[in-house]
Amino acid sequence: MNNPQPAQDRPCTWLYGLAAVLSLGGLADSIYLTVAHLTGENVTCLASSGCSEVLSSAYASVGKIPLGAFGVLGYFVAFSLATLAAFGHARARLFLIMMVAGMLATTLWLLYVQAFVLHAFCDFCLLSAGITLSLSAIVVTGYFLERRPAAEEAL
Amino acid sequence: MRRYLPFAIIGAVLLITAGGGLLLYRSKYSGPPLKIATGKPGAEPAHIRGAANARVTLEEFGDFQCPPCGFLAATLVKVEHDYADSVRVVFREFPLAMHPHAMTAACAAEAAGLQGRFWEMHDLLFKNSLQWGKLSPHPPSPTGALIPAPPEEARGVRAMFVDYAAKIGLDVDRFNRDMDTQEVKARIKLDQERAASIGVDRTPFLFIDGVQIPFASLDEKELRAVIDAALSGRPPAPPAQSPTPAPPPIPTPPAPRP
Repeated sequence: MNNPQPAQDRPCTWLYGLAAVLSLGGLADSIYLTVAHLTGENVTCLASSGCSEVLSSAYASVGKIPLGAFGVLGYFVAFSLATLAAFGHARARLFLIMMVAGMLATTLWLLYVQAFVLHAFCDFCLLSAGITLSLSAIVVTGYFLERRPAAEEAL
Repeated sequence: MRRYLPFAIIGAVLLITAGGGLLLYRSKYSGPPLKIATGKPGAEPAHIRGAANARVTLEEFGDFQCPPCGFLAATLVKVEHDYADSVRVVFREFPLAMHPHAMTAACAAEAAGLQGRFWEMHDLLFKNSLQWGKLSPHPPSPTGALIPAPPEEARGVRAMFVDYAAKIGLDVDRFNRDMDTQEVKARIKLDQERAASIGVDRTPFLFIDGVQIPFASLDEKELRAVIDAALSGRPPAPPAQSPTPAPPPIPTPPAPRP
């Protein structure tokens, strides 16, 4: 991360820029959920009807720490890494892949819990899941776009 | 310059995150714990469980379709059991518009109250809230549906409440009629007016001897600590910075209507 390199190509720069913007969306979502948890606000779902069930379940916090707080941390780190990656920091791209892989695993677990344990979905959690899935698609695409020139050179 | 630009962006976002989070928290946070000194009286006679001369009064504003209210109800049952004659619990209706069946459930509880079985219905509603809370507010038409709806969905939430009424030994026909009466609706409205007059804006909202217990402290351990403090003569939370408020006006327990 300490040796910034020029971006390999424009598509990757745009991809990581998009990842940074998406992370900001996830950050805002997580901040809202964290504040709602801490203040006891009754969160209203717009599309689904399970916000109360999901957000007041035992899965909504780890001890006294709301899960949303981990989301804030995760999305902020993802935003930072995506921003650095967009500016050509090669090592940031590697860390971003690792970070997003962790977030994806957490998201899949939480989707499983909503679908098969709680039998209820929450809009804000689904929004976060959608953002994480999009981030995953972006980092995978970025990874293959970066590998392509190297593979062509090898040929 | 370009070298430092990403770090400047990250720093700016960090500041905006911290500042925005704090602002949002302050806008949602209802301020220091509320104290009931005045306020409208609410429906009378109120629903009270516990000894009439108990030393500590817990007054809850609740919504039967609110899951945290269900958790609190279970906690309060344990607390009532352990503190026996020392505490009494008052329940006030505060059905939220965001919960489609909350008003119907409040009507069911109040209708049961008219036959002297409010608390039995209260316990049943909370115990089964995840079951009836999932039902659609718009029961499907029995004809014309390609896929038949599950039996409970088709019967609707009211039919489930009628089942509960039969289960606790109510006169079901009267219960059904009472659910739609002005008397029941007026009781709910009076409780809502009391809530509005003292600043209640969410559920569950609990006062112990007239002092609001913050949402984060609504677990058994913290409630016990507050009750113990109240029993030992210390003012309930927040202990230091507020004088002991006037207790809320709680009338005598309700008498069942003949």
